Parts: sequence; C-alpha cells; structure tokens
Amino acid sequence: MKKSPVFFAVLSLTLPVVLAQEPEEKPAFDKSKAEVAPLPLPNPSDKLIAIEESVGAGKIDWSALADSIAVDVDANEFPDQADAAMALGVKIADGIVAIKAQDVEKLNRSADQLEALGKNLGATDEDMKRARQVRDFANRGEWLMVYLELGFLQADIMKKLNTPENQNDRTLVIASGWLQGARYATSLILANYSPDLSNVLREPVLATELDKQLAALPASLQESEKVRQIRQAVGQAAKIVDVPLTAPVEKDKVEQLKSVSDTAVMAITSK
Amino acid sequence: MNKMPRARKTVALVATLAALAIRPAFADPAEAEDVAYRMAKTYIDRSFVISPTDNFGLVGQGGVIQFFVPVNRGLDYVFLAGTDAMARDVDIYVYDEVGNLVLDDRRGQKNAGVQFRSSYNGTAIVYLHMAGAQGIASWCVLVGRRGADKASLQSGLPPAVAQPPARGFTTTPAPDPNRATPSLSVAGAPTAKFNTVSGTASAPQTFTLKGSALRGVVRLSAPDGFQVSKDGADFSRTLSVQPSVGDLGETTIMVRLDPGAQPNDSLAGNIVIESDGVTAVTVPVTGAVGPAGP
Repeated sequence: MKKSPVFFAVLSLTLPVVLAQEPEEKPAFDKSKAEVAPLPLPNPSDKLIAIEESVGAGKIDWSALADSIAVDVDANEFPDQADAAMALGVKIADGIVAIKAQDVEKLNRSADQLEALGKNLGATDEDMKRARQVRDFANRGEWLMVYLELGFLQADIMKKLNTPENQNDRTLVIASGWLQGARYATSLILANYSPDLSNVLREPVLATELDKQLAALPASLQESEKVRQIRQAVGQAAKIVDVPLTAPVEKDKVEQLKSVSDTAVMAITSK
Repeated sequence: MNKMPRARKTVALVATLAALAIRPAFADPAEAEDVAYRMAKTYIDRSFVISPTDNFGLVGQGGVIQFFVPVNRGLDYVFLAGTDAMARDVDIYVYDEVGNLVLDDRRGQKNAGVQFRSSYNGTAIVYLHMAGAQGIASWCVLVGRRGADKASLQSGLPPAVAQPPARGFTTTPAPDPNRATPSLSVAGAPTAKFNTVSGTASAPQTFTLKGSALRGVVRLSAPDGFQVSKDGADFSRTLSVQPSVGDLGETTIMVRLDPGAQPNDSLAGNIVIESDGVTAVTVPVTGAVGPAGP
C-alpha cells in the first residue's frame, strides 16, 4: 500500500519520541572526573542529634543553650557584603538550634535577622518567600517541616552567592556558620565530656577543605580583621578535629576549640 | 452530529503529535526542586530532619558531581536526588572517607535515594551520576538525618520511595580484603645539611610525598630543631595532610630549621611520616644552628 505524505509526517514527528524511549547503555561512572560541588551549608544538626543520642533524649535544655550562645545581629550594622555573609552564617546555625529548642519566638527572631542579612546580600522579597512558610509551620508546631523550609530559605539566599563574583562570600558564610556550630557542639561536649562523645567533633575532611578555601580568598578580603580571625580559628579548629577514626578529642583541645570559636564569632558579630 | 472530515482529523492528529513531540527541551531547576521536596516529605514522615545542602545545578549525560556530606556515628542518613523532565536515569554512589564504596543506587530511575547508618564521625563522599539525560538536566539534592531512637519508632513503616535496601555503614570502615594495600612514598629527600643562625629560619628544602588507598590522614613529625610546611608560609613541628578519598597526589613538603632552635652544630633526626595501616616512612635530615650574630 502506498503511504500518504501525512503518514510520513506523523512518522517523522513520532519516531524521535519512540527512539528516545529505547534503553541505552549507561555511560561509565568515573569518580575521578567528578565536578566537586560547593561545600554544604553549615548545619550543626548532625552533631547536635549525635550528642543528644549520647547524652539522652530530653536531657539537653536547648532553649538555655540557645540563650547562652545565639547572637542577635542588626543587619544595618553589616552593610559590607563580606561582613553580612559572616553574620549570616552565624544566624543559620542559631536558627537550627532555635528549631531544636522548638521555640517560636527564637526562631522568628533568627528568621527576621536572616531575611535582613539576606537583603544585604542582594536577595529580594521574592527570593525569601519561604520565610512565611517557616513561620507558618513553626506556629503549627510542625518542626520537621520548619527544618525543611528554613533550609530552602537559606538555600534561596545562598543562590545569590553562587556566582563567581560572590563565591568568596559563600566561603565566609560556611566558615562562620561552622564556627557557630562548633560553639554549640563544644558547649554540650564540655558539659558532658567523655572520650567517646568528643569524637563527635571529628571532621578532618571538611575542616581541611574549608581551611584551604579560606586560604585561597583574595588578598583584599584577607586584610579584613574579621576574615583574619575566622581564618585563624578555622586553621586551629581543622587541626583539633583531625583525629584518627575512633580517637577522642582531648578535653583541653575541646576547650581550645570552644575558645577560638568564641573569639572568632564575637569578632564576626561585632560592628 | 456532524462528523469531522477525514482530512481535518488527520491534520488535528498531526498537530497533536507535533505538540507532544516538540516539548520544551530545556532544564527546569524548579521542577527538580519540587521533586526533591516531595521526596523529602516522605522521609519527614519517618522523623528525618531534612535540609537542602544548597546543592542544585545542571549536568549532562555522563556527568558526575561529588558532595561532601558530614556524618555522625549511629545516625541514619538519606541522600535524595530529584531531577527534572530532561533526566532519564540518575545514580548515587556513597563512599567512606578512605575510598570504600559502601552503598549505591543504580536502579535506572530518574530520581534516586540512598539510606544508610554511619558507623563513624566524619565525612561521607557522595557522587551523583547523571547516567541518562536528554541534553542538560537539572538536579537538586537533599540530605536528611535522624537518631537511632527515631529509627526504632519507625521500624514498622513500609519501604521508602526511591530507596534501595539500606546496607553499608553498619560497621566501622575496615580494610576490605580485596582492596589495594595502602602505600606511602617520598621522593627527592633533602640531601644537603641545613644551616642557619639562632633566630633565623634556614632556607627551606623540599621533598615530595605520595600515597594511595590510604585509610586516614597522613601525619608528619619533624625532629627537634626542624619544621615542616605544605604552603611554605605556615611551618610547624607536626603537619597533617588529608588524602582525597584515599589518594594523595604528589604533594610538596617544605623543611627548614626552626628559627627558635638553640645553637647546635649537629642537629640530626628523621621526619616521620605515618598513616593508619601503612608502615611509617622516614626522611633523614641534618643541620647546624650557629649563635645569633652580634
């Protein structure tokens, strides 16, 4: 039977679709060719959960911990983008502990400060539309959804820093958040010290990578006193948390880590 | 009722097929994020604390992205990858710090997820492999964690969506009998004697360090009076070098006499280089420190 032109037209339109459905052989997985993703956002959740597991559920007063460590920042005092980035990292860590404390007031305060700092970094109201969902879920007591929404809010703000010209600020957010997370973790570990628990701080790969990225910041940023403090603190921290797989971090080293983190975060969050 | 003429029917059919065939052919990050968000909700129902790693992006077929994922001993983790309509097959591979593959999801589906329990504190290295894509595809990854007490509460739940049977990370990473033997080697060890005066660092000399299949960090300890450095700026008696997933590429180490060393015309010793599971390597050094000038 002779095929009409319409048949061939239909065939030409459908054939690519049909062929695209054909199974293909997978390309080989070669990890040596991997593109390395940026370091993750600071998130002390893992360490805090691990510490809580060791100490015992319900035995940590998260609200009191937040009161003793969280730092309020006024975004108006951080007009410089690098300074705002460092303060943002601190508030990201504070937000996570406010969720652990299931404290709506503390969470809202952290979210307000995150939004204000985000604006200093170029984020728009549209970029931060998830802030309302964070508050809605918090008001309903759906704390695991708060974690997720707050994480997306932070990620939306961080998208502003994913450009080559803002990459350095991204490193500063991560470093400062990591140090504020270290303040929370070391406080709890010192209050409940055991060699086994102290191993929670072990993190040689990430800390070394972060130290490397800070060392690679341009000279113009290295001249900032806040950046100098943060780099010094992360450099010392990287050595402290670099212990063998099951070895403890000695108590005096945990104290030292807390001290260098305290000093750096106070410097970051001062005017 | 009027029947549609045959020619018009054909035209309508062609137009419909054309509309189907000419779908927008571009990556859609928002779709990948929505997919990951829906996957996350499944795990939130199982008490996982989930947050984005702010890692999202675009990749073509065959592309691989590496992630550092902090992990803590005894905690359950999920690593979820959502993609857009351009993706056809995404796989996930989880390695421990020393390069052992402990878990993967290679099921040939357009979204992937793995669940594991970490047996150590540190970092897992996770790879996303875009095994199939039409052009460039979007991906969005989320990481969740929960304590063991939460896991026991959830043990009656059905298997998770996009989750292969959990395995791996159930024991402390241990040498695999089939795994390559770890090795460390040095080349170009300093042969000349170091010389300086008290209060001044000597000129540095260098050697290179290389390793493979390593199971942990490489530690260097210099003898009295000597210092080592990776960058030529920060010198100290001890130094740690972190392999990348078990491998340590050729790394230059700088050695010098400590400016704080006391006068001594016969300093000698070994720089000891150690790592778990590998025989220590030594680099002999000698030097002399004269008294400071007037």
